[in-house]
Amino acid sequence: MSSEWKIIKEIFLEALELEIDKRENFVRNKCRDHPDRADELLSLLQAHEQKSPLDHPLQTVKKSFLDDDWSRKISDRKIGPFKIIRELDRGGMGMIYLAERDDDQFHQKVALKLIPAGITSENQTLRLIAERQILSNLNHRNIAKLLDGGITENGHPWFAMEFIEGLPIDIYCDEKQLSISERLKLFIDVCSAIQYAHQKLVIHRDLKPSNILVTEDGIVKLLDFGIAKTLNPEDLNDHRVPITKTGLLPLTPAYASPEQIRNETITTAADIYQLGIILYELLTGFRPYDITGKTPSEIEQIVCHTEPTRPSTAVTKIPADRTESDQTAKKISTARHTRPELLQKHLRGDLDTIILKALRKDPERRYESAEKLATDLSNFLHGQSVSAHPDSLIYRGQKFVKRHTIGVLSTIVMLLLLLGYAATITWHSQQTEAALLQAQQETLKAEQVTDLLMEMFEASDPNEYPGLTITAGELLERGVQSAEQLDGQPEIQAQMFDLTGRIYMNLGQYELAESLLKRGLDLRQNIFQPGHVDISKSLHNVGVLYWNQGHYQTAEEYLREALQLKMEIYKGQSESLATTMTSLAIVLKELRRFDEAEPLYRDALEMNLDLFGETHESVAFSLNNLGNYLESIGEYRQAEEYYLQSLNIYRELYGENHPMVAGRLNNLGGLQSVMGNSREAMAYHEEALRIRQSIFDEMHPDIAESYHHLAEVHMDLEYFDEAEGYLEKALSIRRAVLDPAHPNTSQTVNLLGILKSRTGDYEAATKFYQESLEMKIKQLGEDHSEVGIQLNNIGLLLVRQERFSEAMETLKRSKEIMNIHYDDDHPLQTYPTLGIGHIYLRTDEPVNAEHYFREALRTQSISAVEGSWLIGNIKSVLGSSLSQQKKFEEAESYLLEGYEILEEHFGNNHARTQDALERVVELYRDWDKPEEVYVYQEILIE
Amino acid sequence: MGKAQITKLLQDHASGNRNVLDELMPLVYEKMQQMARFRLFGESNDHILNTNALVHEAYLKLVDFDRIEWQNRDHFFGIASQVMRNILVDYAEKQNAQKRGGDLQKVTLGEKDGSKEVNLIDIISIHQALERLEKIDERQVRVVECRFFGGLTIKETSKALDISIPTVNRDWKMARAWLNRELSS
Repeated sequence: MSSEWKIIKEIFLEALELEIDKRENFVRNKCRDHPDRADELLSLLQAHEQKSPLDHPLQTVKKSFLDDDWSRKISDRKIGPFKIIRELDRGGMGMIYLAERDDDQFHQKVALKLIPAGITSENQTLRLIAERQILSNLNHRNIAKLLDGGITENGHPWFAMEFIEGLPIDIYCDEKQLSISERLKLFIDVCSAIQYAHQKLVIHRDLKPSNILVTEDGIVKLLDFGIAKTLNPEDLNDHRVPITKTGLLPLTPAYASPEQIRNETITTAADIYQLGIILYELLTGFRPYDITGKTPSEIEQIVCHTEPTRPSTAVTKIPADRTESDQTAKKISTARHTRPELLQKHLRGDLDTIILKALRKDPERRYESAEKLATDLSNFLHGQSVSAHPDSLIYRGQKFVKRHTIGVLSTIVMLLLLLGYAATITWHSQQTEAALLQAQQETLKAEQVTDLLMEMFEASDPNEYPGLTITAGELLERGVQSAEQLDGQPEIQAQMFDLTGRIYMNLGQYELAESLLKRGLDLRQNIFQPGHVDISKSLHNVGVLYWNQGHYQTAEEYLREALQLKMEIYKGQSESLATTMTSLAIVLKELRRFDEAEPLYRDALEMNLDLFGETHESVAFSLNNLGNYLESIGEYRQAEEYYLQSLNIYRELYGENHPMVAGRLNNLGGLQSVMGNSREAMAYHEEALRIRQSIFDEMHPDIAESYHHLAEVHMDLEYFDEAEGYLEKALSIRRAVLDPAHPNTSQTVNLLGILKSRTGDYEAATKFYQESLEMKIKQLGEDHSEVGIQLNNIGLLLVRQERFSEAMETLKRSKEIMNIHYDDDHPLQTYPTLGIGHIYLRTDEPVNAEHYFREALRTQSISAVEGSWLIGNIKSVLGSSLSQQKKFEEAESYLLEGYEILEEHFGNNHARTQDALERVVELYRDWDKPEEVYVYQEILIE
Repeated sequence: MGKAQITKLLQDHASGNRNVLDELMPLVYEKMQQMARFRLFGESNDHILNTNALVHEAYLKLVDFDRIEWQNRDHFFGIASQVMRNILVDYAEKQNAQKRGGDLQKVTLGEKDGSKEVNLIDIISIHQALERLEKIDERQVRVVECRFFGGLTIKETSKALDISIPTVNRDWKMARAWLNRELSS
């Protein structure tokens, strides 16, 4: 755009603001030295007043206008020796027509592929030529043959293939009610076609049932090499290789391999993967992943990270409606000529293993070739052993169970110990994870204790033996009782106190835990030399306990002592040392001593990386903690990265349904909330809750945590009833299992206050806020940042009640406390700042309001993502403060941006969006722009 | 296949890769042209074609909207409006060439009962004027395409082009005056 045009545009628009008769003078005045410009402008202004064909959108077009001969005459067209009969299929890669050889000698039907007249891109043409070239090299009974090819008189390339009258393989199998064995035989033919193509250095890349037809005689025919890739470009002779820039390749999401989704290098293993999906579908009637209705990023997450359901489990999938699913299961098994139970039995074992091997995420771990896959299937058909082994993790698990076949109880005890430690409690749950890591290590070392526990249970009266229904509580009580009687064996007694103490800690029963852990520590200090490794462990555990209770100073003392001992014991590197370093770092973070905390976090991560490499739980643990730390200092983007890395490691190690995975999802959800992305947050929290409910009993603190966060996101989205329901559940669990003044309980009470405040019940809100404030002061002291946050909320409530002077006092106190803990750039500074701005706005002091809103915008913009609703909100109120000062143009841009962000985030019906719209309307009213008032009023009414 | 590909290209486009337009436009062109033909000559056999409805229908048919961010929909409308212009202009030029100044075809504008009609020449001259405007101010041309050829509202236009509503208003006023003058001279 030229500068002249800019000037013209500016003056033109300014002139339009004036009455018609004043425009000419205005223009002449503005363009005193540029008579040409003045003429140009005057002619434009004159044209502005005239009617224009553009005034009404080109809404309708008469049929006669669009009538063309091409679409009607295509059926008569001759291409090479063929005459087109009708269209068969069309796609971005060209049209496929049914055509017939025109001479009397042959009556051969062919499928003719052609890029139609009209618009074609060079790339499409090149691809068509490449496909023709690929097909000409493939000569296999299970691949549709190339028959002829050429160029039309208009210069468009075409080719003719064998016309296959058949059905897609999945439909064929179901219609013929083929059994599992018959399906496998057909599938082996597909493998042989693929194997052949691979030998010819061709990767198909788009295998799916609709590209695999089966003729009436049961012959498999592979079609559509439209996006196939040849591994040896020389095969294309002189033709140029089509430019398939990465990211431009079409793919079918349901069949795409992880490497295709990620746009990585595609090898023959991608075809193996697609074969795996097709086999899965043919045998079970389901696809391994349900991606309907998912967004691209969700699909990527699922395809690249979620383990597929085992085929034998998939066939028994039970959705919400049981009867319906029974019918589905029946339908599927009938189509396979069998019954649901038999089908499951058939799939379990070898077929599960074979399919899952083809579907592995890592291309290198799939079958090396289609032939190998076919061989395994054919061995299976003949009852011979197959080459595929189950994934190593499962394999290890099985071996583990085999070694511990003493009885059901031992399994329960092992499970209890593992799960007990796996149970994560607090919402910053890293610390208990430290306990888990250690526990897992020690569980193996302390088999002696485990055996002892076992003996004790088994020695009890068999009539009382509660078998599978034994509860964690009962087992623990027995454990403690037995430990009490171990006076003669202080080492083992101490170990038992320590173990049971940690389990109680994980169950959130801190008083019991405290007495047991401290007894363990005392005992150890009595029986061991100072500096013994067990003493360091007890010190660590007691420190962790105090952290859990929010007694950070005491926690620091114990952890420092533990750290010092461990440094002497382990000298260089050790996992145990890294764990204590991390625990101490967390406590220091809570105490807001970030400079001391950060190096500890990073050193612990380095240490674990050195010790274990990248995929290890200790590394995942450190990554998560570092993420948490970064979140608390407002480095959200980095935090997200670390959380995701951590999540991926846990998923890889434990699969999807594991407390660790749930914990990471929970943290990611929390982070998304802070960043203002409520929808993403909700998805994370729902997933975490689902996992937790499948593992824990309903009264578990982790479940309370999920409820609490779900309430939070529902509130963000103004689903207040749902939010209140979640909060009540969270509060009843937390009150039942946590200490009365536990930080998590006060958090829930505070959130209830927020909910009441937002739904206008100020009395109830005040009551909850006060309760939470008292709990926090009692637990954390008057100057704790949590107290500052609480005061902020109370201040905002007072703003809503229009008690401005009290509000100002409270918010200033809140800001004072924040300033103790955070520097000026910290995003948490936004909240009291914003509140103070609101007071000024409401008390007609727009200049002060503007100052505070700008500051809020600054602190929030440092870390929030673009388009976060909070930013939208701040922009909108900032606009309002500008509008009050009659700075209309600037106000307009902030108000509209703010409105658009909120509209994008919440839609038009949300109170925040409506408020923002009202501010826009107000602006235009004050600015005297009735046209715009009208436009936005209309949206407001909508 | 077309749907997945268009969806994918649209995602690439939204993520900042403007080069994909070269690939995307012909695909959307082809599909919309087919849809227009189907509307007029297919089973429904309507006698008139609603351009705005076609743009929206194209979105439903061509884009796998379950898999795509909401804002991509708005971008698609912008692209489809541009395609609509190409389709109509191509037809107009073709018809014009065939008729060689004979009976001029009428394209109905605006109100239903055909009270306002514009002829082929108008379409072609608007198109040619837009080509000249494009050299001066490309964004204004996009705004005109959205408003006139795609029948998008001001708000839809603003979202389609990622510009604010006031900017759309200003561009539209300026472009309308400029085109008016070009068309009358």
